[in-house]
Formats: sequence, C-alpha cells, structure tokens
Amino acid sequence: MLKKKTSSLTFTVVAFLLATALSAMAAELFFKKGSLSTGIADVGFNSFLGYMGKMLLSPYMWLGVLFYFLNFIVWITVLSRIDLSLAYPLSGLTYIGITFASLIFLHEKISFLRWVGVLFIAVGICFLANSADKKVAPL
Amino acid sequence: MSLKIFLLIAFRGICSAYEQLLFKRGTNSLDSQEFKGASGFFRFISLILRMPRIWLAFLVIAIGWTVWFVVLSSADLSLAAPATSMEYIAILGVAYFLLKENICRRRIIGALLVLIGICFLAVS
Repeated sequence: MLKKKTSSLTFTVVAFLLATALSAMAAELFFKKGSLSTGIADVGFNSFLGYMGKMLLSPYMWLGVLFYFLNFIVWITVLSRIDLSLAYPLSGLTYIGITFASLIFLHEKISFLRWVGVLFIAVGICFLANSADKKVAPL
Repeated sequence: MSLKIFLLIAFRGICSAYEQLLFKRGTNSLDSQEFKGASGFFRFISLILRMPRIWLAFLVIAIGWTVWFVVLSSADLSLAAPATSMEYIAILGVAYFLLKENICRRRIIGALLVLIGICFLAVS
C-alpha cells in the first residue's frame, strides 16, 4: 500500500535535517570521548567485556545516548515527510555548515582538500534538491 | 585496516541500513498530513514509540553501537571514509529495493557527489 506523497523540501524539513546532523555529531563526539576515557585500546576477545563495562559506567557514553535519542526524534520527523533516499544524502549539508562555522567562529584554516569536499557536497545537494519535488507515483 | 575492522564496519553498515528501513516503514504507516502543530508532533512521536518495529530498530542500534565502540577503540582515523561509503550504499540499496522509492538519475548523481565530498573531508 503506497499513499500518494510528495517529497518537498520545506524550511521545516531543512531545519530538522540540520538538527539531525548536529545531534548525531554531538553523540559521536561523546561516544569517542567515552571510548577514550576507558583507557583500553584495540579491543579484542579478552578485553571486550571489561571495555563494555567501563563504557556503560562512562557519563560521556550516556550523554551520547541522550543526544542519539534527540537525533531519533528529529530524524523520524524528517522521514515522515521525505524519502529515505533523499533525506540520507541530504544530511551532507551539515558538513558544509561545520566548515563555514569553523572558518567564521573558530578562525580555523580550511585546507584545499576540505574546500574540494565542500564543493562536491554543495553540487550534490543541488542535484538532490532538484530531485525532490517529483510526485511519487504508486507502484 | 585489518580484516577484523573491515568486517565490523561492514556489519555496522548493514545495521544502519536495517535501522533506517524499520524507521521509514514506521513513518510510512502513518500519514504525516494528519499531524499538524506542536500537539500533532507529540502525538506523532507517541504513536511512533508504540510501534514494535521501532523498538526492534532500537535493538539493532544497540548492536550496531556495540560493534562501533569496538571499532572506535582501534583509533584509526582513516576508517571514517569507508564506513560512511558503506552506509550510503547500503541505505540507498534499501530505499530502492525494499522501500521501492522512486530514485531518479538526478538523485543518484546527487548522492554520489555528496558521498565523494564526505570522503574528501574524511581524508583532509
């Protein structure tokens, strides 16, 4: 059963997409911090249980979980409005935001390779946005 | 990149794709037009959280995380690009083959360009 649906990129959808990617990045950052705080590198069969135990006790890991839950709430809202094949690649938008934010607010030097990446993402998003408005015919 | 890490990343990619499939099937079962404003938003979220398939997705996420924590502990910065690429391909495959989304050529080109861009960022 397929309902008639449109995949239009409204302001709300774009704002939610940005919120999705930012919360995902915060979660990843906290997971990485949690992983570092265990002091265990290269987990294998023997160290796995000890590693997971330490992870579960790490407040960073739980902050990560909290951000992931926020991420879920925003993402599920995006998915209720546009196709998965459109929403998922569109989250590349964040990387552009992050690059300009670190240039403007943190005065970081952006490498040439990074600008090339940003350019690819920007052109890609133009293509994606152009594929958005098509009405999806029921199969 | 060792074989162990590669297999773990591939497994995590499959978990991500399965999560997204369950999420999208969940939202597809509701009509988004019915949920307007803030009260509609909360009603939507509470309906979503009552779906068994969403809880299955949470379980898959927990498994995916466990695997990802192990990958993170090996602390290799070059992993971001292959991990992202695998997730992209798996998720687009799911959207096309299982969700029967109408993927036009423009969308494929757009997704590939974004993927190439992210790989550039990952190595820079």
